[in-house]
Amino acid sequence: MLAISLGASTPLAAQSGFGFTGALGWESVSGGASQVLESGITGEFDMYYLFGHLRTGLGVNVVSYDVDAEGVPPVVQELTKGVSRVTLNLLIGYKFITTGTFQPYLEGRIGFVRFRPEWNYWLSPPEEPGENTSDREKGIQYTLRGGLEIPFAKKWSADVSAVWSKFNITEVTPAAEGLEPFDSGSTFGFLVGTSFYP
Amino acid sequence: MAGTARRTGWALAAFLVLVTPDGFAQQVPEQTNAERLQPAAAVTIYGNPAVEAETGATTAVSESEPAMQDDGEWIGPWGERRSLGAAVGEVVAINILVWSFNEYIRGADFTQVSPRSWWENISGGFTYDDNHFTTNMFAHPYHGSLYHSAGRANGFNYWESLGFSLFGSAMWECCGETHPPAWNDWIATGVGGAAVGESLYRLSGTVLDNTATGSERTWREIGAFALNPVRGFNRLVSGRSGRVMPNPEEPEDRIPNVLSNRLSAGVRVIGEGESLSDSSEAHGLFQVEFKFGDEFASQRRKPFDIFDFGLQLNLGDKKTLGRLSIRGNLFTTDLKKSENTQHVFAVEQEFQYMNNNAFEFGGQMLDASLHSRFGLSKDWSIRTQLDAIFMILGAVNSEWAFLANDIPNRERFREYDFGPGVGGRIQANLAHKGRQVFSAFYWYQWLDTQNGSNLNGSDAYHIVQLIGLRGMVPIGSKFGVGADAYLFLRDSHFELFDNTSQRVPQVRLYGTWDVAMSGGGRQ
Repeated sequence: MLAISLGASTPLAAQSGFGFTGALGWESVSGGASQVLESGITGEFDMYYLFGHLRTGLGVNVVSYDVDAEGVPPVVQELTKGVSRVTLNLLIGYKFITTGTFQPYLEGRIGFVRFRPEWNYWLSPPEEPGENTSDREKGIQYTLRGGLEIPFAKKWSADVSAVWSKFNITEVTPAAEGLEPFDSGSTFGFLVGTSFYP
Repeated sequence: MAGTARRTGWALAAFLVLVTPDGFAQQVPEQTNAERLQPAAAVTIYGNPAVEAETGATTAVSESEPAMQDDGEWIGPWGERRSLGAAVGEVVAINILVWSFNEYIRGADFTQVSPRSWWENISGGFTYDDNHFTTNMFAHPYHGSLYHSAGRANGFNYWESLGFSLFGSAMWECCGETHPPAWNDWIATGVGGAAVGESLYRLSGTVLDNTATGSERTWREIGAFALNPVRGFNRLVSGRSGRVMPNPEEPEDRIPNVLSNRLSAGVRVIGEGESLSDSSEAHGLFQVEFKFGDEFASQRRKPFDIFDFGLQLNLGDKKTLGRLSIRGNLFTTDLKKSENTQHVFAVEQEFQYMNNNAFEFGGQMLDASLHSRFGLSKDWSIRTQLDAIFMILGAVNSEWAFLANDIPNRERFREYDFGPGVGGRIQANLAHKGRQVFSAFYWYQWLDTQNGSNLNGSDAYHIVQLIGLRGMVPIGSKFGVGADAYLFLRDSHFELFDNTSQRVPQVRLYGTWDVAMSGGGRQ
């Protein structure tokens, strides 16, 4: 009711200009990666430009996955706490309705994705000063995102969305014994955040 | 980071030379107040007096602080709209750009951020880090200056923009890198960023001219962009970079009534020991001394309406950027004003960065200062300054700093200590017909080590003393030759180790060129 009343009084008009969206959410993993990765906490920040109903821009998405450590000895589990995923996306979206309380949109993304062990857990000490010990496995990720914007102030709206992604990467080989390598997977999750149109 | 610092230093120096041509300050009286209200060509911006005079709308361009228009918008002296959202958006965008550069171009090993690393950093609390002195004491403040500029370029004043630099730095410490948050980073970026950012914002304002057209306008906008990229970006995307419109009415918002910019080039000889002949080295020297406003003459005294900006390039030394010194007023009031004597009290923010082959010293400071001016005769005058200094967080090289505790993710052994401190400084400046001929200063600084040589909480402190003498011989109205003698002394006291001391004498010989001067300059 709050969103409806606020949104009704301050609808966002279709216009040109910059937009920013920040969101947090949760996602599940399926496919090859699900042999190692469990669910993840995800964070998202997008910067884009609006052309009426269309918008295009860049987005950064980061995820912390838990590792399925069943069968891994407890002492090793300490070293296998998680894997992170970072994706730099090119996005293009279409907002079906640009005024009113509920403004649905659909967005497609293609991005450079990077997987790596989480900070401080799988890193080995550098053999030489300055050596980068943070291995990254790289690939391409495709994403579909559908959601609703719900305006609550002149330049702000709440954003709720569902996200599906598929990725293919160079093989991730977990350092801990008992974990299977993987090179692909798909995810499905939800995001909640805010959008700002300055 | 060394390359970054070197390039930044050169860029700053180059643009300070290029964009402050001889006589630019004489453009101040170009427009009278009445002339400012005359229509300028092709003016379309909201908040422009020319348009609003025709439309009857309220104008606020002439106000030094952002002022509210009829439609509720706030417009600053340069025509910028006050926008919290845009400022916050730019702070976030700056962090993403810096993160992307480190992740995708540098391949850094501290950028694998994730929600888990965010939580680790938030729940783990603040520590200290072991970055290079240049990174911690120069690169971070410059990074912070971008946040501060995001506030200033979107219509916020100094104090509000200080909030943006503190917020932007906190966001980076939490979420832009996996290294745990560090007190030294937050203070250097947040507080130092305000000093660097405000001075670069004012410097870029001296370069801009909203009434210029053609290639002159283009070069001025490019120069201002180089000095303050965030402001340049905002002018570019808002269209103000190419729009002809009045300049701010109050001189302190652009070119103050008293201003000087002196360039020096020469040689410096630095030694380490009892005399210059011990382990001495000779290096080329290039220096910029920019003085904006005057404690005794400036009518308006808002933060950084009066400031000094000093930059020294040490050619051939371990770092080209050898010194960056910024000092700006925060609060200023007259104590006495008579024909031959003036006393002014000021609270000032100071930023110091000194980095050369012999020593490292710098920090973020607040000064309580007594400025005095005495007329000795018709041609001779003397200015003095007495400072009580509170160093919020300083850094100085130390023999036992590598033992520092509480440094997670150690990557190297740090060579300098961190800590707050107090100190005092006195300086005097003798001028003939308004031109400096002799000056002297003495600076005593006590610094209590909070992270570094204080192994396992043991007591460690440093006493740093800086002594300087300067003699100048003017040649004509714009040129001169000068000689400086400096002495750096450090006495370090350790509970667990033998005390140490360091003595670094330095002599500098150079020629000077007063590139720009208005109101007789400030010596």
